[in-house]
Amino acid sequence: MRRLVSTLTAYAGSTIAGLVAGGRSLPALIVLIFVLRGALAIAVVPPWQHPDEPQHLALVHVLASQTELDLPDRRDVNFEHRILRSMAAHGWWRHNRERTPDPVPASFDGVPDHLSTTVNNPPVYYLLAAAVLTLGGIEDLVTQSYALRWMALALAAPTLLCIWAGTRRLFGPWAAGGATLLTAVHPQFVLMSTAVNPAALINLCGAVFWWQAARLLTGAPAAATLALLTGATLVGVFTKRSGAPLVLMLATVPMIAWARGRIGPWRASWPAVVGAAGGLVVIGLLAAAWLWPEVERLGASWSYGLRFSWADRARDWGFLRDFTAGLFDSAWLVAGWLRYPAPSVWLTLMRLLVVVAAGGCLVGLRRPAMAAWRTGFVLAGALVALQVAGVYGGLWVNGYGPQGRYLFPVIGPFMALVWVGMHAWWPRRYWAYVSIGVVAFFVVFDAVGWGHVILPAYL
Amino acid sequence: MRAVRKRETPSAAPHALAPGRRIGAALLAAAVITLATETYLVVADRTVSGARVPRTDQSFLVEGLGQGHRISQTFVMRADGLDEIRLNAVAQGETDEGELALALYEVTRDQESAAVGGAERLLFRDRVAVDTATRHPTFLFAVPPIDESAGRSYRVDIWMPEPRPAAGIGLWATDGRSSEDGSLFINGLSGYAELVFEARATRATVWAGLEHRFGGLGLTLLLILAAVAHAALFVGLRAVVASAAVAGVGVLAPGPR
Repeated sequence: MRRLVSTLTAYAGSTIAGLVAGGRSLPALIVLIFVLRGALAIAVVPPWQHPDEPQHLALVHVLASQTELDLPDRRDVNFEHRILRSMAAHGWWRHNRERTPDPVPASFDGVPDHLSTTVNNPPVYYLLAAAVLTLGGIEDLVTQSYALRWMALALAAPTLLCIWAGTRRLFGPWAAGGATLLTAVHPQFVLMSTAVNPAALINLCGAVFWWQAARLLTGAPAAATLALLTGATLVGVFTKRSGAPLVLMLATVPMIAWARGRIGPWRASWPAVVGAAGGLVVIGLLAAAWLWPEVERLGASWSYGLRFSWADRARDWGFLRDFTAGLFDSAWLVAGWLRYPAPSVWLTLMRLLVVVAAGGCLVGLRRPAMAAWRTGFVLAGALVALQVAGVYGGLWVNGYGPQGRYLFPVIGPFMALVWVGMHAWWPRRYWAYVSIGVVAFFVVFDAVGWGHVILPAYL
Repeated sequence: MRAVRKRETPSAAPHALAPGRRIGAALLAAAVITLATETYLVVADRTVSGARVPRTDQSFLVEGLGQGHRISQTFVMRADGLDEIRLNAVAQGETDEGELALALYEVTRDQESAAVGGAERLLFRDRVAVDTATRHPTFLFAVPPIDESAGRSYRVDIWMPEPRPAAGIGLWATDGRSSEDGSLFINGLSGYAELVFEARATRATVWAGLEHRFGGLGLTLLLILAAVAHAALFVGLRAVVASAAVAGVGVLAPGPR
C-alpha cells in the first residue's frame, strides 16, 4: 500500500512538474478549467435563463422536426406554448420579478415585452443545432435545451484554443497563456458559452478570425489564411448580427498586414487555396436553394442598422452614458436576462482595470523594450475598436439597449491587450508578480461573481 | 597592475526575475487569498428578511388568545426560501401552561381581505408550548423552506386550541401599515395594525443551496471537480509565471519599421 501511494505521489509530482516546466500543456489545462466552470453553469442555471434561449430553441426545434429542410417555415405556435409552459415551470417570470401568467400565453406573441420572433435570424447556428438534435434523436424539450447548452460549450472550447494560438503568434507564449487564462475565468463569457444562443458560434468565428489574422501578419501562407479569414467572416455573418463587424475587419486586416506585417508566401499554399475554394463552391451549390432567401432575410435582419439615421434616444447624452455603462457592465457579469448584475463595487473595479490596461497599452507602444509587440497592439486594437464601433453603430445609433456579449467575438484580442497592458506599467523583473496579481484578481472577481451573484440567484 | 573584474549582478540582466522562492510565496499567497474568498462566499450567512414589521413606540399588545381568539397576519414575502417567521409574544397571566397553535397559509391577494378560513392553502401547522413561546422576547415559527416564496402572499394564524383565559398571552402589534401589503386580523376581522413579525429565508448560504440542489453524492462530485479545477488553475498559473522570464520570446510578428 505504501509503495502504491509513493508511486502515485511520484507519478503525480512528475506529471505536474512536466506540465509546469514545459508549458506545452497549458492550453489543455486552461480548457479543462473552462469546461469545468461551464459544466457548473449548465448544472446550476435553470433552463431559459440565458438571453433569448426560448426563441432560439423554438427555431432549432422547427428545423429539427422537418423531414425536408424548409427554411422559410420558422414558427410552430404549439411548440412555443410548450416552451412557455416550461418557462413557467422553471420560474422564468419569478427570476424576472414578475408574476407567472395564468394561464400561460398561447405563443410568444403573448409575451411581447420579452420575447420576439427569430424569423429573420441568420441560419447557420440553427442548422447546426438542428443537426445535433436530429442526430442525437433528442425530443424532450428540456433535454434539447441542455443538449444545445453542451453544444455551445463544445464550440467554446476551441474558441479558447484559437485565442491562445492567435495571441501566441503576436505576443508570445507568456501573453497567450495569460490572455487565455483570463478568458477562461471570465464569468459572463462562461455563461454565454453555455447558452442556447448563436453567441457561442459567433465567438468561435471571432476567435478563428483573430488567430488567422495573426497568422496573416506573421508569415503564414497568405492565400490560405485569407481564405480562412473569409470563411470565418461568412460563417459569422450568417450566424448573428454581432458578426457584421467581421466584414469591416476582413477589409481592414489585409491593410494592416500590408503596412505592418510580414505576409507569407502565396504559391506554397495553392493546395489550401484550391481546397478552400472547392469547399466554398460545394457549400454554395448545396446552399443555392436557400442562399438567396437567406440573404434577403439577412437584409431584413440588418435593416435597422442600414437606415443610417439617428434615433431620437441616441441624441440624448444620458442614453449614451447609460448605453456605455450597460454595455461595459454586462460584458463582465449581468446574469439572466440582465436581471442579476454583479455588485457595483465589482463593476467599478473592472472599469478601473480596463482603464489601467488601456493606459498600459499606450505606455507599451512607446517602450522600446516592448517594440516586438507593436504589431500585436495595432491588430488587437483595430479588431476591438471595429467591434465596439459596430455595436455602437448598430445599437446605440438606432436607440437599442446594449448587451456586452456582443463584444465577445473580439474577447481574444481584448484579453491580450488587458494582459499586456497591465504588465506594461511595470519593469520586466516584476512581471512574474504582476502576472500572479492579475490572475488572482480575476479569479477572486470570478469567485465573487459566482458566490455572490450566480449561485445565490439560481440555487 | 591588477586586473579589475567588473562584478555582474543578476539584476543588471534585462530579463532577470526575482528568486523562485519569492515567486513561490506569491503563488501561495494568491492561492490562499483565492481559497479564503471562495470559502467565505460559500459559507457566508445570507439570511434574507422577506417581510417585517418592527416594534415601535406605537406598538401595543393584542390580547385574546387565552379567550379563544384567532389572530392572523398577512404579508407578501419578498424573497425566495421562506423558512421562518419570528413573532413577539408575552405571557402576563397567572400561568404559562397550555399550547399555541400556528399555521401558515398561502393566500391570493383577493383572499387576503376575505374572512379567515376561506379557500386558502394550508402549508404547515405546528404547536408550541406557551412557556417556550414567551420565554424570550421573540419566538420562532419554523416552516419547511418554500423555494419560490418571493412575491407570494401568506397568512400566519395563531390561536390556542384549548383556551386558557388565565394565561394572559399577548402578541405585540404596531399601529398602521408597516409592511405595505400586510394586515392584522382578529377572528377574521381586519384591523388597522400589523403584528410585530419578521418573515425570513435562512437557508441562504451557497453551501446549503448546493446541498439542496445536488444532494450528498452530487456535492461530493462537485467538490472533486472543484479541486481538479483549482489544481489546474494554479498549475497553469505557475506555467504562465514561469514563462514570464522569457516574455517576448517566440513572438512571430515583425519588429518596428
